Amino acid sequence: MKTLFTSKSHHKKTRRSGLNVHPVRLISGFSILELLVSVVIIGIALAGISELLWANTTWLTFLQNKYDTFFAAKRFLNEFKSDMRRTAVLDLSLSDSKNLYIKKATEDQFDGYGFLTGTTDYYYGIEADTEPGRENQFLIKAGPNKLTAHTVLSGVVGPLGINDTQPKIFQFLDRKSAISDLPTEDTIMIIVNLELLRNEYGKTLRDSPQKSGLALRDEIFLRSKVIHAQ
Amino acid sequence: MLIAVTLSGIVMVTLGASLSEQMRLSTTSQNQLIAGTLAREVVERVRATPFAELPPVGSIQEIRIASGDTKDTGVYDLSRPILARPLQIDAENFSWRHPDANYPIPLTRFPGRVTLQMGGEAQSPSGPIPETKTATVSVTWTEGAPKQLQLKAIICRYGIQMER
Repeated sequence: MKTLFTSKSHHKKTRRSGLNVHPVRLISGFSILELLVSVVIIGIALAGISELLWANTTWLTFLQNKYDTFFAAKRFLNEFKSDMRRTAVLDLSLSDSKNLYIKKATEDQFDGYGFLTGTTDYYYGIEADTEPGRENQFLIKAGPNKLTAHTVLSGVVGPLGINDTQPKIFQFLDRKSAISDLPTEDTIMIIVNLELLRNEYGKTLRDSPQKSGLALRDEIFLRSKVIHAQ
Repeated sequence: MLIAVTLSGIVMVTLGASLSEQMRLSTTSQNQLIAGTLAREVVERVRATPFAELPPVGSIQEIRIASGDTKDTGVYDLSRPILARPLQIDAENFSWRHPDANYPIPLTRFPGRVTLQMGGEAQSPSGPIPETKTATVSVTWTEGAPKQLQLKAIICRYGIQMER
């Protein structure tokens, strides 16, 4: 065993003398201590990298969820905007911050100059999502009437009025720039408020982090009632 | 052992830099997305404002992003609804879900500024276009370095805006 530990000096000697002598030391490499220290250092490095990797995955999940939510919201808003651009009149008796009854022109209800020749009733409103695991989430539905309305946006969680349990989506701006929860004869613009938070894959809403949420606000100008009212 | 330490260090620094860059890109993407939405909304709002009530030509006006926000700079002109109405979050009339009840603004509140600059008549190859103004919307925010998104639009007196 002693020769093993002195092999280095012996090896040097043989090389220096130019003799082709096989080194006495047959076992080369790290000692156990060196290996342990290396493993510990690599372990610490891997732990740090793993932590960073997890953090990165979480961020990417947030971003993916936000993109998903954002594009769903924009799709809904584009459809809503398209309908409002063809609307001059709201049903004042039925519309409020959660339901919107409009009279919009369909594609064949325009004359050659862009004026409306007629209107068709249409509905936008909010309803609770009854699917299991989606408690406290709401759907925005749209259609010719409330009974036949189809879902145009899911994952709505707010905003809520101070004493409300259901999100208030719509606000109404009049020609004097006053904002209210109810439309009036002077309403010229619909404001849409949205707070969205969808379930992360495989998680319930409660376990889905708030960072995945998105708050949006959009203002949509109605057609001039003076010119286009039917 | 030195080789192990060196290799670990190189791998860690490389991976760390790459992952950190990805996280920065996530934040940038989100901010750019919201900035674009805010800019388009300002243009929609400018188009819906009566021509005579648009801010003065040449002035740069700040537009409110979130009402009821403690970070609200409050430098916008309250007498002009086009500037004072919140662009993203109305926390004066609504409550939003947030882990901190004392600061009930969503985490997605845009961390920047939105300004509107009105310009004079729009220019065409044959000269100025009468009865028009130009609107330049700038959305700025900071992510290590300052970032900016700009949107320009031409507003016509006889456009879609409501005359009172």
